[in-house]
Amino acid sequence: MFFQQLINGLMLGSTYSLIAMGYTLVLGVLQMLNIAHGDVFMFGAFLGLTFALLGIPLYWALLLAMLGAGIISILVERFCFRPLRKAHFLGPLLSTIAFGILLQNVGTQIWGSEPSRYPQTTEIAQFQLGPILISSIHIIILATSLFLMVAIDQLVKRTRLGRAMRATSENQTNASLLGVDIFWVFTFTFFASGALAGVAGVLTALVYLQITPFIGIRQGLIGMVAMVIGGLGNLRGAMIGGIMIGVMEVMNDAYLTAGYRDMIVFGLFFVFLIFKPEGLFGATSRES
Amino acid sequence: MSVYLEGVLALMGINILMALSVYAILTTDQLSLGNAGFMAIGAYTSAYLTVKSGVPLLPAILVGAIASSVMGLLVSIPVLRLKGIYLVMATLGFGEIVRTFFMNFEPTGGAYGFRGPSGATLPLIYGWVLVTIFFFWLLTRSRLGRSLDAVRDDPEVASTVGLHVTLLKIGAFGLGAFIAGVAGALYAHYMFYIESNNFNFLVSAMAILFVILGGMETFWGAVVGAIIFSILPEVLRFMKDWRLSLYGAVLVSMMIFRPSGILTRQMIRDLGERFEGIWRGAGSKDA
Amino acid sequence: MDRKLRMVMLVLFCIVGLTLLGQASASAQAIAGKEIRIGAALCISGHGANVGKREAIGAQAAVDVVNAAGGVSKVPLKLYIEDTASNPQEAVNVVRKLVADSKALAIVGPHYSSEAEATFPLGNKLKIVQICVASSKPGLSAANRPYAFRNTLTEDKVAGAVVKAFKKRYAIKRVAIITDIKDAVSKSVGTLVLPAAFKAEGVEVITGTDPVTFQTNDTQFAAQITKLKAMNPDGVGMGALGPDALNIITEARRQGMTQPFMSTAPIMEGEVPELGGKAVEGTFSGTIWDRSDDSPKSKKFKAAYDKAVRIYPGEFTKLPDYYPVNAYDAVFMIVEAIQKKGVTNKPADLEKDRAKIMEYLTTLRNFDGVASRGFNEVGDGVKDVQVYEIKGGQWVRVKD
Repeated sequence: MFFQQLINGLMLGSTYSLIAMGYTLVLGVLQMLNIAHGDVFMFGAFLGLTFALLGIPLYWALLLAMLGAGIISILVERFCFRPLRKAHFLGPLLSTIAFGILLQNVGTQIWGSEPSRYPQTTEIAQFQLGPILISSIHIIILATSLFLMVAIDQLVKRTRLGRAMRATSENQTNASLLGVDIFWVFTFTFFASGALAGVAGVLTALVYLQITPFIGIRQGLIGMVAMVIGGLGNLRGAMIGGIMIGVMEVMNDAYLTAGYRDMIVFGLFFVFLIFKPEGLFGATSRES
Repeated sequence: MSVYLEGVLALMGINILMALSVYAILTTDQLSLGNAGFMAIGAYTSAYLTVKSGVPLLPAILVGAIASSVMGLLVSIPVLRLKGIYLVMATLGFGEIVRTFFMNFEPTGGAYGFRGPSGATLPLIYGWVLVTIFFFWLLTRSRLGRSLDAVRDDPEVASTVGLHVTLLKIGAFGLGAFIAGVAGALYAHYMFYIESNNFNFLVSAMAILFVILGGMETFWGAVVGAIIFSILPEVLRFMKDWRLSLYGAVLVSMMIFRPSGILTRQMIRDLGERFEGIWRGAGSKDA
Repeated sequence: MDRKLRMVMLVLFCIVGLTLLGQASASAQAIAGKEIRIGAALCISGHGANVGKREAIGAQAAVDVVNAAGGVSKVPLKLYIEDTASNPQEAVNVVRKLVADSKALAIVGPHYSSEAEATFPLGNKLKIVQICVASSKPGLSAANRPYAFRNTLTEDKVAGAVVKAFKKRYAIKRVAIITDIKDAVSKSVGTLVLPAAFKAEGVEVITGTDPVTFQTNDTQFAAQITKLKAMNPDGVGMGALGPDALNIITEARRQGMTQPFMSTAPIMEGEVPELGGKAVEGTFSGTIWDRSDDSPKSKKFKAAYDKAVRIYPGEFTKLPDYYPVNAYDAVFMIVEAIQKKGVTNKPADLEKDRAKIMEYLTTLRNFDGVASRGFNEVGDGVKDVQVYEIKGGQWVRVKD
């Protein structure tokens, strides 16, 4: 049973990783937490559902959901971050909390408060490798997550846009003096962050469950924890942090009881912040 | 007074206390996103005392608040060296830990909640509100109050001038936790029932929003913010099922259009001068 | 903006706000004898928005039927619906509002146990009946006599009947239990009700006092199913809400478990048969009413419901489940109380009228509702239990 649970944890963890990476992108560039990120994840899941119900094939629905979630994320930037650049430094964070409330309730109006389910469009193949059962959806999730992680990683490290993002995260004033259009960087960062959350939303809904307009709250918080454990601002850290949390949650449910789950996760969160704020892999944000 | 108005005012009083609890900690430039955790400790402790141990209400509230305060002091120590985002996240984590603790803690009901506390009347709630407001008012006029302003405006200068910044920061947490504990105790004894879900992250977040939107420069801002945003959801009832969406939208808009909040220090000073002028009578003609 | 102007606007807002709240109480007194006011404290927004709206429609349906027949002694009923936002604080505000502003004679609602835990004691203080139409948390009404009523069946009554039928159909000798530990009702079903019910039938509960656990709305159940599978039970009992049950069973089939599943009333919510497909065939549950019921009273209810949908139209409120039925019956029970106890509906008699309704409901044992027979000695609903299984994509009655 142990190895099966490990696989289960890997699957759950990869969706957390995608969310955590989205958080990290924004935190890296703006030194700010986007609490509405979890609700962007939720919107992505629902957008994907809406497209799937219209009969659009899975991969296209996924792409469109990515696009939609990215756009919602840009809206968050426009309403919660850009106008508040001169305000108290935690103003944007609080504004995103309010924006999250807005997203949840608008979502309830559009899709209802009860869970919605994805139509079973793709055939799920199962593979038995010794004691472990893996389904094709598991493979899709792992593959998609890995692909996106590598893609974002390469984008940040090797492209001009990535350089611009890194420059902006180091020092916004210098970057703009050097000719970087920091507002375009903000927009793109939020778009990418939202797109990642959107993909995570669709993947989560595909495999694991039904979605309600309130799933973003917890998923968002867990993504934050993953980010801290991996190292604030560190993309690879976020990736691994997400997987670790996923495995830990699954192991807790398997061997202890679900009631302790949040205590362990948030306990770790707290302990890391106090004793190892740079996370496991080192933070790269300014405020270490 | 209509029973309805009574209810709205009761919850408003508790919100004012929560906002002030955030403000207390904010005076030392620390932002706590976990005050719902302190509220929970005050609530459960006092409720357990009155319901299971027959302790009278007022002492129970005090004990609850003290328990909360002790927790605040304990938490503030490791959290001292954290800055900015890290501090916010640590307090968020703390709040969640407390919430899940009470979800599992069987002696106070666990997931089934805790039934039975009662006795929080409007006079009692506002008694505490007024005492707390008076305390803050005294604080602003005291040397300690000025020290706190100094810490907030420039901690490095403050420490060279000999203020024990660390002690102030810890004390602020203790004070904030105490007030939140009182709020929690009053909440439990007003609602007749508490469960861990009543003390979730959103409660902490709303308390901060009251302060920021009301104006974080003075404690009056916290009071005004709590008042306005307690009334707002009631006034918006005509929106039916769009009510909460509109509420979120109003909050976002307010952050955009009035990010420094409604009340500023200057405003309070002006108001204070004008009030004093009226008090003294014909003396001051330049208002 | 000019500082002074801002201050003035601020003060004005507060005055206006508080006046509006106070004004509402003053103006409501004038109307007496023109309508009979029934309050509804339900979730129109928040987590329970869909269900709350449906309950409101159910109540409105009853009001429509009564008014179509001329009202009560020629006076029409009026339903005052207020939103609790799925939140105990709001629920408390709303009950106060219905008592003070709307001057309701009785209240239908709230929905959630966590709301009722706060509003029931308040109802006793304010001396107004609340008929909650959904909560089934054990002991809640008993702790709040005399004004608290719940027109629902507590889960232990449902469990007994379902377990019996489940054991018989599948020859269950060993059962494993999986339970939610966050939702109070599901937790009590999984940790207390089901083990007791199975033991009473002589079935071995493999999980003993340590059921497999999860939290409401969890995003994955792979861990739990892997654990269940390893126990190799004859069948699985669930303490869960509909959506979670659906995911549990789906994941179980995915991992190759073929055992049958059962639970109590909550899983009959959430479109489990429609969304579960082949995976959920053969699942057992029980409740007090299902849409497939076609007794004459059910048909009348369904017709009235279709018309009442106008107050909250939309795809989420089109089809009724048993909660709106409870609300519908609740209104009729209040009406019967009004008629039989000589409620005058005069403003001066408000408190007496509310007390009369309470007295009537306390001893109501043989009500002839769609799915309600009245209340027992602790204020919980008296109803018949019907056992159902999923067959061909819908819930089908299991006859003995």
